[in-house]
Amino acid sequence: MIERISKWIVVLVLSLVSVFPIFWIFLTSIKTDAEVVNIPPSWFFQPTFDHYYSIIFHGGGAEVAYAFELWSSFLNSIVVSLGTTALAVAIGFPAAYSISRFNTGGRPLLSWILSFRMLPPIVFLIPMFILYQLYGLMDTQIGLVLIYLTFNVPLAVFILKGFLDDMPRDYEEAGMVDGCSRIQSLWKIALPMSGPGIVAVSIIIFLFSFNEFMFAYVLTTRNAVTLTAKAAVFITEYTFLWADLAAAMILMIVPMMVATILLQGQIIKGLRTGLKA
Amino acid sequence: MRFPSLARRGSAREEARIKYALVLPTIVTLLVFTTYPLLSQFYLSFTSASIYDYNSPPPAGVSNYSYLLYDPGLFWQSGIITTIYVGLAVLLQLLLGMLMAVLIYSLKRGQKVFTSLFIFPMFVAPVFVGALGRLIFNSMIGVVPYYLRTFGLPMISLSNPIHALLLVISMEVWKWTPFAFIILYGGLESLPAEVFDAAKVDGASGPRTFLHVTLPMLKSIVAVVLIIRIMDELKAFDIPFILLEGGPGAPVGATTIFSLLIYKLAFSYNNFGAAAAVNVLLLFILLGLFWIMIQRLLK
Amino acid sequence: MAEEKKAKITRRQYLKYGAAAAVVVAAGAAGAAYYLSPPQPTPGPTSTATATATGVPTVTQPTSGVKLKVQTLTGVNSQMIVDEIKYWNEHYGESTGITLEPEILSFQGYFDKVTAQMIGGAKEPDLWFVWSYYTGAFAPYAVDLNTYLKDPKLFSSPDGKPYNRDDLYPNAYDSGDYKGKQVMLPQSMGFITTIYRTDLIQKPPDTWDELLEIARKFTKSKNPNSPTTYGLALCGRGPIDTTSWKTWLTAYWSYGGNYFKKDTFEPDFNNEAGLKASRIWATMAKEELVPPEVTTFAFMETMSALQSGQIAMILDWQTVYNTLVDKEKSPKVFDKVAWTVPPGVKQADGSIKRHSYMGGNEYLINVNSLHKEEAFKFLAWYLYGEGMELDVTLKGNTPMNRRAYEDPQFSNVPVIKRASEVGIVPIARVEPAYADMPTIQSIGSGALSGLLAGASPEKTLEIIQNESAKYLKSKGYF
Repeated sequence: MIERISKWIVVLVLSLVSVFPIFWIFLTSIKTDAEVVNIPPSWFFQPTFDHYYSIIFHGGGAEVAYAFELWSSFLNSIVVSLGTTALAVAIGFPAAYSISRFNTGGRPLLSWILSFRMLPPIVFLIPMFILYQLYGLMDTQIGLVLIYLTFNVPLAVFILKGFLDDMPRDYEEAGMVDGCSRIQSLWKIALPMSGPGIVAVSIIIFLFSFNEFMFAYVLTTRNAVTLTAKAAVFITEYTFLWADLAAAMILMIVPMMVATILLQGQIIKGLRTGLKA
Repeated sequence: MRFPSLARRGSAREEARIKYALVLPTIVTLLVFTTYPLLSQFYLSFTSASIYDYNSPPPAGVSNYSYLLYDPGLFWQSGIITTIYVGLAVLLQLLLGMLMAVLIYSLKRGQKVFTSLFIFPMFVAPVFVGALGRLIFNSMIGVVPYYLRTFGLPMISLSNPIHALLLVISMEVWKWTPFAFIILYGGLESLPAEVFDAAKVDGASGPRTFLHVTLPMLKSIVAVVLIIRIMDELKAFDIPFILLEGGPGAPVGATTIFSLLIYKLAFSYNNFGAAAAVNVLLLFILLGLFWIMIQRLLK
Repeated sequence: MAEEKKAKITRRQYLKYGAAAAVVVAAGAAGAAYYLSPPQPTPGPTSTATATATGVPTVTQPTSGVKLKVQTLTGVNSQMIVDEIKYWNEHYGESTGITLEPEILSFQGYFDKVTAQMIGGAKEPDLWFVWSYYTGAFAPYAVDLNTYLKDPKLFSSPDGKPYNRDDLYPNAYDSGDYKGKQVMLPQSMGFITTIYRTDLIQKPPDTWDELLEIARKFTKSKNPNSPTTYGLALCGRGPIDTTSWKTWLTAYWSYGGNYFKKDTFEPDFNNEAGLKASRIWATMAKEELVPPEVTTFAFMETMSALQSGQIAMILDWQTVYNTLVDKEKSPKVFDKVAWTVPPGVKQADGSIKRHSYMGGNEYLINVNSLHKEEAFKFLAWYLYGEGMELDVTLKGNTPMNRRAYEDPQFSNVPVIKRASEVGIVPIARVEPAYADMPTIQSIGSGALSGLLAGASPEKTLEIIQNESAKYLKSKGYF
């Protein structure tokens, strides 16, 4: 009994800690500029949706010279993130399978693949800029997808390999006894059973790509600017426009929250499929 | 790992072709975009390139390396901080993530709701987490210092090196624990239920089941999470950068982890050569580190 | 039998996968070709030169419209150009054939991006907004504006009226001059000033010692009756943020310190003046006249410190004053702040030697730009002509143009009036321009951050002196 209660307490505390900062961000976004920096912090106040109005319809307002473009940057973010996620899984899963089942390349290959996730991205900033200029990849969505792939394919390979390692080969073996080839067993057996891994990896890679700032900021100018890079305009030279920034953050988070709530069932099921399904 | 079934089918060569074909896209993707940057970093590390002569930098032999390793040994100073930072951050993420995974797994109701709630921190861009951190912990107008003061609790001050490091670590932990949670939970769900039933039949209690049955079976997933989080924290940039720029203190401040050291050397001290040298050193050290980790942690 | 069937399956599978791969590669190639094809040029105005009412021909190059790209960041000074670009496009776009498009970026990461763009040899944008500290560093990537300043066709208004080169103060040219090359020109200058609460302080401090005294009076730990918690705040963050160095230089110069040894590039900070200035800083920290977090303060935190009503004075850029008097933004202090020149040092004859660190918000023309002359035509209008006037009257800019301070039509602009009142422009001073200036600024800010955290003044000066000397020596400066 005590165990049950303490379990629930811990769950509630963890939920609170996870959610509270975002709630606070939301509060900040409906305060006026003055209230944001007010001490003592105000919890009850007259809310104002001016900031949202200004961001959605007014390009962020005169204080950022109307520089904020919500829809085009949001579209860019979605395209780039979806593209990266899909491609990373498509490229990484076969490799994960190969390494898990055949130990292809042994430790050297795995370490080499992983090493690309080790280096701080700053390393790549100027060389990538030069390369992209050369190949005309500057300010393109595909350009961003490619650089994000470089960081995320190792992640996909590694995580999926981990899931595959834990997955008994019996099912694939049984399939092959029944007449499947290797490739078919990958496609028809291992892939569906890797549901949990693929769902987990997809969520992670999507969020990573959506929220990435540095490359999105430096490698784009007009056409491919993502929402994260655009929302940063509220960090101006002399001040931070906290309320507008908070509103932009909420706008970035809301679609993801809604998607999570709607797909709750699917996500859990996805994380659950496999042997239990 | 030869399966008798395969041997029966013959054509080990076919298997070889397939297995290499499967990794080929990954290898190509990685090679195409990283060869030039890595080579250029290697080259730059032997020069003293600055903004104004980056494209034809004067050579500097190994002076960058001696600057980093010997006098005043910035690499080691940053190394200590990075080790502490990574160690604490990863440990906390792993423990909390595991806690979350187990809790959700064992909940009868509300799994969906709480999973969604636990994932929230992942939605926020690290760049803005850092920016908001400057507001939240600001001693003049920040929420946290205000309440600490009113309740008479000890003050957290961003200018105190230890507080600063802990603060940066906690923001990272807050942001990235759901990552560990998702993967560990996926791992838990992948385990066949029969094992738990069998254990129950044998009369094992909750915690004991966990420690002796569940955990060992999750070994490889836990290893995966551990390795990935270590990798990510080693290159963490946005949050520590915006929050404190690696301070307090300079050139290697209390929160100057490697990625910040590289940035500072390159863009503040205008010493792209030294920054590249840090990269090269890091690459070798980390490759070695992972070699060892993979051996000891993965089968 | 089974073998044959198995072999056939394998071959068919190869074909299947081969075909699939070919399709993927083809699709990929098509996609790549699409993305890699050069973007369609944006159409500009097609009008050619026309004569105006005065009969003076307008600029004729080029005959079809040119669209210039201007990159700037969000911020009080840097985004003033956006409205002026709109104005120019409306009024002069057709007649000159030049239109402009602003690209407004975030401050976060701005200079990293500019560095990458310059090193990468980007052809766009044509005009960059930058800070004057990068004069030396960016010199190879900028056009020498001296050539265009001498060209009467370009250095004139859209209707051909020539501009006056002397309109800009000499130190305006200095801030953007590197070894004789005019790398950039300022749109406005920022000055380090004292901003204080007028309801608490009647007479702002004239000397650094007075500053400390007033700060003591308004620090609660020293004076329990003080209405504010701390008397003073300033920027102490470093080394990426370098305002603390600039604030310290303001003090250092007023004590008579010089940057380099005469006629050399050998740094000379570890001297009497440096010691006195550092002692002031150390006293601030030791007596806790400044909040302990001051080592993490950048412009934003320093300004919000005053906004929160808990600080009596700050040393900060004059630009933050605009936000401080905004009723919406600073309800606690908007009607009780004023800015003035920073404190100085009393001389033997009773006068006060003061300096104010001046940092320029400047524009430079990309050396790889395809439209350098058109870019300069606009820049001249923006910095010397109508553009400058609009910035002053409509946006309260503080340019470095004599006209702004001497011409009666601007005397009613509050910030100009105040600037003349307090006499900030004559005491403004820049660091000498050399390519590695940002590095020394970082070294200085880093060390000062330590000073404010409790390091000794002597030790700090040693660090500043030795590190800068070592660095500059390695770069061949002396």
